[in-house]
Amino acid sequence: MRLLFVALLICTSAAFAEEPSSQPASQPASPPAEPSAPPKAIEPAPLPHEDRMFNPVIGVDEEGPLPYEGAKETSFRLFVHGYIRARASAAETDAAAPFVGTNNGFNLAHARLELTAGYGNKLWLRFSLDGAFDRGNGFTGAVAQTGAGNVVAAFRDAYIAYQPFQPLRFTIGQFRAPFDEEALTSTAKLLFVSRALPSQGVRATEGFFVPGLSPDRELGLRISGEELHLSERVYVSYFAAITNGNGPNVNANDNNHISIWGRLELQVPFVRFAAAGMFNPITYGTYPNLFDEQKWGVTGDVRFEWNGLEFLGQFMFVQTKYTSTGAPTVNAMGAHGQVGYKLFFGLQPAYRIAWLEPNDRISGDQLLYHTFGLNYELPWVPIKVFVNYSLTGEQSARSIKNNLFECLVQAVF
Amino acid sequence: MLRNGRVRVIIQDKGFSRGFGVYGGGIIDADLRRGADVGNAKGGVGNDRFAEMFPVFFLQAVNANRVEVASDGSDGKPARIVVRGGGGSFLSNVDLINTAALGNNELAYQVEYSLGPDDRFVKMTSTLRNISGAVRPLRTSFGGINISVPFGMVALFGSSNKVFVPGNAGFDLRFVLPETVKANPVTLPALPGLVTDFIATKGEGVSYGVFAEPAGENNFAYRNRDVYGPETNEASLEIPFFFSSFIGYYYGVGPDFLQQNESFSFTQYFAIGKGDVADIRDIYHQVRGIETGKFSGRIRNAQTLRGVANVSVIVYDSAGRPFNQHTTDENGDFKGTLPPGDYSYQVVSDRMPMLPPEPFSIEAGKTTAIEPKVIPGAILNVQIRDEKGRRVPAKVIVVGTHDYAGGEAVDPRTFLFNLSRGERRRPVDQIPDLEDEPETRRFVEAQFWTHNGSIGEEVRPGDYTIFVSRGMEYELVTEDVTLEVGKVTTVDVVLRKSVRTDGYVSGDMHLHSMNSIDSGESLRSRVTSVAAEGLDFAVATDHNYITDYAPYVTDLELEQWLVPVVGLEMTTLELGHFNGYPLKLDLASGNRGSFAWFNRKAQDIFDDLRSLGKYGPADTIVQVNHPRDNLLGYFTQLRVDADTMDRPKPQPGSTFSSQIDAVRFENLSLDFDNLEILNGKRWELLRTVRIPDVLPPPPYAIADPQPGAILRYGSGEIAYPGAVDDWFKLLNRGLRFTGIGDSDSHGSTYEEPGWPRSFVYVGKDDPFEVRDLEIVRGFKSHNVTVSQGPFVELFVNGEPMGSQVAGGGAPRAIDVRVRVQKPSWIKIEYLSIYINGEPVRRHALNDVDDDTIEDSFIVDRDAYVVAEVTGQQTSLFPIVTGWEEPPLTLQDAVSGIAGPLGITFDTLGNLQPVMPRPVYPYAITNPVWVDVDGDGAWAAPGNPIPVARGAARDEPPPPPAPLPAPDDVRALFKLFGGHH
Repeated sequence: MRLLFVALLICTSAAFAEEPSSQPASQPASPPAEPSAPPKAIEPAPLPHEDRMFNPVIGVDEEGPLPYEGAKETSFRLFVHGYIRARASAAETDAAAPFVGTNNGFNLAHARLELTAGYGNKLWLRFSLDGAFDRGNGFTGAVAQTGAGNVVAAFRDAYIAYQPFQPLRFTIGQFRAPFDEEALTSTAKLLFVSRALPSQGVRATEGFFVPGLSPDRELGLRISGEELHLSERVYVSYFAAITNGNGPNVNANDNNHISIWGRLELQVPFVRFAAAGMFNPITYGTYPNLFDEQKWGVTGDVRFEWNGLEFLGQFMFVQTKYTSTGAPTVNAMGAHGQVGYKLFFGLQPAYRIAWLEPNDRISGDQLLYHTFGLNYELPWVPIKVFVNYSLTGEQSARSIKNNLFECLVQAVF
Repeated sequence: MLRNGRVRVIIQDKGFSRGFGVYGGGIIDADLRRGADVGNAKGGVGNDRFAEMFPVFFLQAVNANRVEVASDGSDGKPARIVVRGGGGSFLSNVDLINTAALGNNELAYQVEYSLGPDDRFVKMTSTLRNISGAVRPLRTSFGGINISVPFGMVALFGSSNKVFVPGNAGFDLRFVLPETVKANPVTLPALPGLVTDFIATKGEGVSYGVFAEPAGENNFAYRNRDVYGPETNEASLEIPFFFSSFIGYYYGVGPDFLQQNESFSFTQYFAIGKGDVADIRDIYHQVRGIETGKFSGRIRNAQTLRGVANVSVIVYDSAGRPFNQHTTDENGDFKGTLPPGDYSYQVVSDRMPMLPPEPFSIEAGKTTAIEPKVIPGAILNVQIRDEKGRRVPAKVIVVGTHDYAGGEAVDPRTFLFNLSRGERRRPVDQIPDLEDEPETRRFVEAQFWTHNGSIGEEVRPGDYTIFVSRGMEYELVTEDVTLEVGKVTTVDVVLRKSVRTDGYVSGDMHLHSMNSIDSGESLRSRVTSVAAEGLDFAVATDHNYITDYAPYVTDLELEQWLVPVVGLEMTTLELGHFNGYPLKLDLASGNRGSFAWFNRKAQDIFDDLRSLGKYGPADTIVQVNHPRDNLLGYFTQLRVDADTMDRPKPQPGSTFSSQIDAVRFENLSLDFDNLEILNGKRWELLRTVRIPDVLPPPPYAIADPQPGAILRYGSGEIAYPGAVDDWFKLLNRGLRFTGIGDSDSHGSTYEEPGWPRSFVYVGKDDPFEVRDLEIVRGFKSHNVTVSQGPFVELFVNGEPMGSQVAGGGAPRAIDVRVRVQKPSWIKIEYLSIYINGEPVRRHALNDVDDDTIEDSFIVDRDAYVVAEVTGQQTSLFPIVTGWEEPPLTLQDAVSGIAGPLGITFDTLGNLQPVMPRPVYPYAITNPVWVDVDGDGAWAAPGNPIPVARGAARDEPPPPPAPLPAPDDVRALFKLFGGHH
């Protein structure tokens, strides 16, 4: 890893090296020119979707994200970025649930290193590695953990993207499934320490384990077109993907079927509406004891941002049919709404309400969480501090004391 | 190997069998395909748990001389392997019966194994052909009744598999089979036993099953359907015997005669499943074309709502008999097929409370799905340290009190646990139950072993007493707890060592693991349980397989607690069992260096064991195990006379002589080192059994039984000779074998390792400093004391066990000092001192944990002294569970066949000792020899005339009755140990 980083530095330095002078040596020296202003690096515009990412070729900045003004186009550019998110959490303890609140302390939520390699104007590669990937971190594709979690270093994104022209981009590899807005939001851009209850579920050490409804990364092929202007201030974006359907870092499909994902976004001034759907046939178990299921789901969300105020509302529905066992169909659904407002000095209070029904065939398993947050963004360094307190509510049959305090420090580079 | 994309099996080449069978040509390994078929440095990645299977023609197996690939499957058709050979006895003792029934080299055998591209079963077609040159009858005569010779299979599924037979037996074939045989006596030509559609197993990750092809009147059970009942069909299997992991069943019966060169075939299927009975049943339905519906579901934990993995769902038929069994996967899911009909299901787990069965129905082509919620168990957390604060290997026993269910005769199977649905046995205290005394109604709910002083396990909720132990050198800690549903109860314990064994290390020299086909104990749990019982060294002695515990000792970080010793139990079926240790491990060999045993003399076996010695022949221990076991005992097999330890008594009129050279008395070898005088809980093999002082009510099977006299058969032979008595007689002849005791443990729960154990003097106390060679030298020095509770040291004139003290001429006074130590929870009563094998003094012992008894005797000739400590009032329960199941010997199993043939065994009637009993404290030392005249040569005293205890006791036995002519098979059966 260290060697790669050194190599990247060397390459990056080389990319920034001045071109040799084009004047022949025999020419008489010209009078010295006025010293020019130092090159101005162009900051990539922050993007709400991590997957819209830092696009060195075609991004929000239509002038092109060349490393500095006046730089010549090169055929290969590397950009290194990432973030670290260090978290402290404490859940209440409950004698009826001895596994809850007995692992309070510090944990590393993310240790993300991202590398983007742009080749020419239309092609780029993206690697995203997380050194603190918790396999029980809430996504349905992850393994349910017990106890203190199993943290591994794992690839998150690893894909090739080719965009011949703006309305059409091909992406192949491992990427976020275009479905859940909360999951599509860059982790570094979250309003709270953790994603909303419907997306992430409940960790085993913080309550009865409940998987979230959100998919994780998927291996497959995606076609997309982002911010296609319908008018001056109205854009539409579309995403369509076919994938294996069995989550990230699994190098074989669980069956011979593909999963289908589709998402459509409409951006009007200050507000973005979106809707998505998915169909995912799953096979699990160990041969010959294989079980087939079919999942399909829909989600809709609306996001509003204006003058420091941001709001997100979302609803998700996932239905599972048990084709092998013939068990009755299970419907799961969730919704959440959150609001945050940037005050002075970088302070940002926030509130979220989230509801989850994991299985409509089981009575008494619904959850309702209220999360109160206060964030502080340091103005002179890219560090943000989050403090959250969640009032966790279960229905009476499964009620436990597990209110949760979380504190997180995030640094982005 | 036969292999497709789903399963693979290995058929042994001709020659020596790896398993209990004698010959090659049988299935020896079977597993599902698991992706990565290639092993690595840590071992294989497969999950074969199958032992062996071979066809039998009555009691004859195929002596394979050719094993060939007939078709490799490249044409898209089934791949086939064909085995050809003649007949051979898989038990040398049944040679004569086989000759009588099937002749000598008159039939040729062929077995074809075929595997189709997509199948999960192997089709086995067994064919016999008449090569006698004349018409050959396939029937024989017993008592004037002609019976057609049945054909079938012997299957050793392996002890890590639980055998299931649909119907009354379920998982309880062990008890239901003999109960069925007793309740339903049959007459020839039928044979007693159970009739079933298929036999299946349940195991971890793999299951096996067998069923036959319909054969009409050529199906043995169907031909006798008027005897076996209306459920018998043209593909039924008839199970006449089930012994340990050994099951035999018949399904074919040929024509009465085979013309010259005519052949006859019968077919069965061997299926491989994913781990439960249901998968075997699915294959059975598919092959037999049975119309089915689907039964499936998810079992959820009522508290967390998560799926519950690895629990059993038992399906009962409309009569309430076990019909099928599912094991849930990691998500709590299961699925399978059932014929249309009414059923009920029950979720069975030893860790959770059980709910009553729930009814359901199956319709053809439809799915019935369930999603029951089960009440979770309680979590028991126990943390164990010693006085130095170290986390120690230890055992935790959860003991409960059951309700009063009647008097002492009530079988706990009827109210405490149900074996037929796969529950584990709960050992009981074997004290007659009293309604108003709960301390007489105790049982072991669960046992756990830890290598690092920490246990966290799920247990059925209830009120219990927790016992924490670490063998016989430590005090017990007990605590009463109430374990509640879904809650965690934590117990912290400090164990105190109270017995000083300075210079001695304790060991068990007879241990089995999964490398033995009759043990399901994984090596990891084997090493853990050995360490938890406080043993200092452990000798691995798997059947015909050399095992090394060292990698597991290292993996579990037990180096400071346990010394592993590499060893082997050379297991013959005709000559007895012999341990050798420490041995070299040959990783390149399929059985790690073990060797063939069939028809080999004892001396050859001993020589081969020594040649495998890690430190050379001189530093290798050869140990004779259970020498007086009624079939598998060395002295029994060679008919060593128990009165003299010499050649067998002459049998007037007998023309019997063994056809197997190895088992002739003339080939008895005494070139061994250790004699196993105490084997596990086999108390009836310890001391020669005598007629009880208080006789039971008449009638008696023998004439004029005298209380206190040695129990003998009508032939005059001692019925239950004791190994200690044999040992004394051998010592009296000047043969210095080290007497040892060990557990012969095949599993940790009912055969606790280290009970008994042997303490060997090595001059050190820390196992980390002890090497296996020092243990060998300790055994050869005879400074060894055997313990099942108390630790006993013997000194004569100040010299320890194994010494020879010199005197100044006869007569001479010798000072005997015996130190007896025990933890406070062990109760002992008597110390007996023996001189030259005769009891000379008995001391009553006080309940003192560290006691020294001094005595003196006058000896007038060279002698040896041994001390023995006993206790009969308080058993070792629950630390050591009692012997609860009556022993099922191979002859008991085979007698099911012999009975209808009119073959009887000599019995003792109500004088037969009652085997099941609790385990009581016991200890015996090795001798100190006294050279009275001090000439440096110890003169053996010879075997004395037994001390008379009353009139007419131990008189010479009456001459045996003349035996019938040898061409009557019943007489031949009687001769091969038929008095057992």
